[in-house]
Amino acid sequence: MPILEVSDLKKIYTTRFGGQQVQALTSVNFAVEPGEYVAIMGESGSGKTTLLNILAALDKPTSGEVLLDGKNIVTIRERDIAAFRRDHLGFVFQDFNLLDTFSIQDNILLPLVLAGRSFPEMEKRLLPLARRLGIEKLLKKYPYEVSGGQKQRIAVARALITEPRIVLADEPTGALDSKATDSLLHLFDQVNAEGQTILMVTHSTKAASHAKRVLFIRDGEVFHQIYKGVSSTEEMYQKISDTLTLLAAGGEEDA
Amino acid sequence: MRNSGLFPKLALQSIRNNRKFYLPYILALLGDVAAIYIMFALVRDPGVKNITPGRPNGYMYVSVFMSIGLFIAFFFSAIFVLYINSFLMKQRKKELGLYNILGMGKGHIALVLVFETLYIGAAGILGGLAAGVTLHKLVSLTLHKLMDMPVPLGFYISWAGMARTAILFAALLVVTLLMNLNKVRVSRPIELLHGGSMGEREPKTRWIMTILGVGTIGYGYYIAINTRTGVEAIGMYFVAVFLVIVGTYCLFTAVSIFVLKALRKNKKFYYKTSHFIGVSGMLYRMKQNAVGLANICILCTMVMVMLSGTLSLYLGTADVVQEQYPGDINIGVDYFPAPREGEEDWTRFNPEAMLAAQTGFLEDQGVRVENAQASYSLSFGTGMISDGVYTTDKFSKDAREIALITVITEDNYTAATGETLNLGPDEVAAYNVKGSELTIRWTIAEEDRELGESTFHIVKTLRDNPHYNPDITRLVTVVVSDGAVINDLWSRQAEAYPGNWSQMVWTAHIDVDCDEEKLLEIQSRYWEAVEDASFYEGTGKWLRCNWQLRSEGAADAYGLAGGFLFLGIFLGFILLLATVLMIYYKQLSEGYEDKKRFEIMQKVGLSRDEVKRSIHSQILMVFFLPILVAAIHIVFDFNMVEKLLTMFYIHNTVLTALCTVGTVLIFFVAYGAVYLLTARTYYKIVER
Repeated sequence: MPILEVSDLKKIYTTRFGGQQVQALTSVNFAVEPGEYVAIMGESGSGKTTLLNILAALDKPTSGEVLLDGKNIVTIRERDIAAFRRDHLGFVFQDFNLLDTFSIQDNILLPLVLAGRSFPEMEKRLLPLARRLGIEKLLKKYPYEVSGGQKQRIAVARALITEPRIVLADEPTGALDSKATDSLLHLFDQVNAEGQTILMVTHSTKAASHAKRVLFIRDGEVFHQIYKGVSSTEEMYQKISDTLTLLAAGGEEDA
Repeated sequence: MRNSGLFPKLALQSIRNNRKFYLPYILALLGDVAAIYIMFALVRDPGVKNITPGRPNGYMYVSVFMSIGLFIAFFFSAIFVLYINSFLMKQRKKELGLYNILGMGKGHIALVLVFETLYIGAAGILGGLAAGVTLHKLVSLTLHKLMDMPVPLGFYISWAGMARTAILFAALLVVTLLMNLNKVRVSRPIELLHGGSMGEREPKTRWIMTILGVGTIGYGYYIAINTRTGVEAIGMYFVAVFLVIVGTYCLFTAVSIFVLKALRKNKKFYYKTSHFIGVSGMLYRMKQNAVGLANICILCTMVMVMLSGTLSLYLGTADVVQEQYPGDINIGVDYFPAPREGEEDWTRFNPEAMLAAQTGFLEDQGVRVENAQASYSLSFGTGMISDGVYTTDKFSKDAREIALITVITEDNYTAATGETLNLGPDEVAAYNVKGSELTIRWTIAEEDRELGESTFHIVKTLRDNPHYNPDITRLVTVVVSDGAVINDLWSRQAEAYPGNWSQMVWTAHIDVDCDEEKLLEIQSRYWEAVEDASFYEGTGKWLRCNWQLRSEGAADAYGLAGGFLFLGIFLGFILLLATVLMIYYKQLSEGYEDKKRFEIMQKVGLSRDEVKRSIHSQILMVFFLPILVAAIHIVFDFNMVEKLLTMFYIHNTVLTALCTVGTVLIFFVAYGAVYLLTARTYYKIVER
């Protein structure tokens, strides 16, 4: 059974004044299997941010279903959403979204504290995770004292500490230099290899080339997809580049 | 270049765009200008001098108070305008930086600032003067009502007052402008643009300040609680106030951080949903807001002390008048019951003849005497060795403090209270003495000579002081069986204080059947009549004879108390204005800071309601901390205020307590209202 199943997702925005309607998502269908590493690519305005917001339960679709472990998250009641999100989903953002009033350790523990876990349990999860991500020396520091790449590792730790069913990453490399980007993507590979399901939205061909499958979105629809299969990351990079060129040229679906 | 109209337009536009910041500023400026103008006008109003022609009236107090109050009020206004100005400039750094980057030179920015100041000054000063002129009449009516004086007619405008107010505030605004220009001159555009977005460092625990804070507040409180007399209160008041102000700043800046960090160290407590966000949020809020919150706390305390103190004074005045002037006419005579050394042809003072002379005069004037009561007393200072043991060697090393012993007779006590005591010659009833014995040791201090002692059995301890004096020292009042005992005590103290005797005081309270106008007429005839030596024939030897109408005493007392209350309300108004604005601006800046935090927490999995609740409780804490601390200050300050009020003959603890509690309650309600109003601004910013 797929961990995440999206079927016939539609989103229509009505502008505030004048009532003009904008169709952000026409009809999106795809499924993510457990342990998969999926990247979603598309140009600005293609609807990928809208899609991610709906997957993250931050936004409601106009119609369609999103099943997480067979449960439709679209119909969850408003007041249960926050708890649902922190228990089942992990988030990594482009601009890290660390709270400057908390130490690194407290930033990572935030979701567990919000979930009302006991402190011994928090400690039990924190140390191995921090060691795995190579940030155990940073725990007592504050966000303003660490680099961008370190910040993103901390954000990943925060996303993983709840042991979520799926990690949603929104342009995770967008604010990083190339060295930090490599290091983060390597980390994602490693986390995925340990069995964590990841869904990443990105502009970056390099980031997408690390995924096992890449979905291309255009005009609110899944337009094309590529499986990595047995090809190397370099070959995958080439495939994605070619597809993007084709997309830019306005080619028709040929898969 | 034909852009001379550009800068005024830009200035106007920037005020309009920043109206959330500037409108309250202009309104506060307007309020301050109006208040200062009204004070000027009250000092100079010629109408009031003519209310009671030829006689001084309570208004002279107002003139004096207002001319002092003016300086205090302007001082506070000035500090407060400077404070807000620097706050506004900090908020606008970015906008000014943008102008600079868009190609405006620093000269041009300066020009914009000049025009802005011009507009703000015009609106604030002209509007304030208009409001002041309009409100002056209303204020003047209130004042005359408070002081129990007839209302002056006519509408008075003080042009000189207007000019002075305008000059004062114009000068103040010029100072703010110069400060702003200097800030622009030394700044670099990139800094201006980045304004407040610097990395936040975690606040450090400052041990010295923590200890200093706890120490100064503790010592200030200690002084306040242990003040025993009015004189001590006057002497130590400002010391205590200074200590508590220093302590308050330390409390908010260092002690708060110390406590929060201690809470954070307690893992079990800290890692709970509600505490986690609260404690760390507060830690940063306190770092940025400590000084502002301490300011608010101190202002609140000042307003409450001023209002409750002056209100107690005013409301207590009725009792004071009743106590000090029990009759329509009150006569006091100081006398010695024995001749002084070398004094020839001495005759004993004759109270009956004195009373007869007074009532006889009144009846000659065609007034019916309805009631005439006389009493006498003896007061002398002693050193208190222990409760119940006193010595005339006041400054001996055994004496703990000075005690003023007042002796009255049982007859007088019964006449005043209606209670009979049936005291024997060795028995007394005493106020402010513990135990069952009262001993006075007679010693000539200069010669170190013992003259024996007088001892009495205390058969009754009095709860209220039957003979009130200002609480300058410890007051001990003793009721003895009859005049012979008082005379004996007088002789003993005369022996113990050679050449420095205490006087006996005889007082008479006469009620007459006559209206006030007639009484004033009679009073002027009285002063003529006593010129003639035959008036006092047969009254014997005495030192001084005092005649006072209750109406005049009351006018004086109400003038003083009303003047104080009015000053209290006025300064209270100015400080309150400052407090309200500080709260408002705090809400604004907090709002902008929290916006980002609010968003992140929601993304990480805090529900909207939870975020709202958590932020709400933090904001509540931040804003109610100052007033809570202020209320605690007031509790400790109460004893001191009470003792200060005794200098004005107010000794009604219950009334003072009620006035204080009432003021604090009303202030809490007002503060809450201001909070709710300004909190809306906050939520609008955060939730957008």
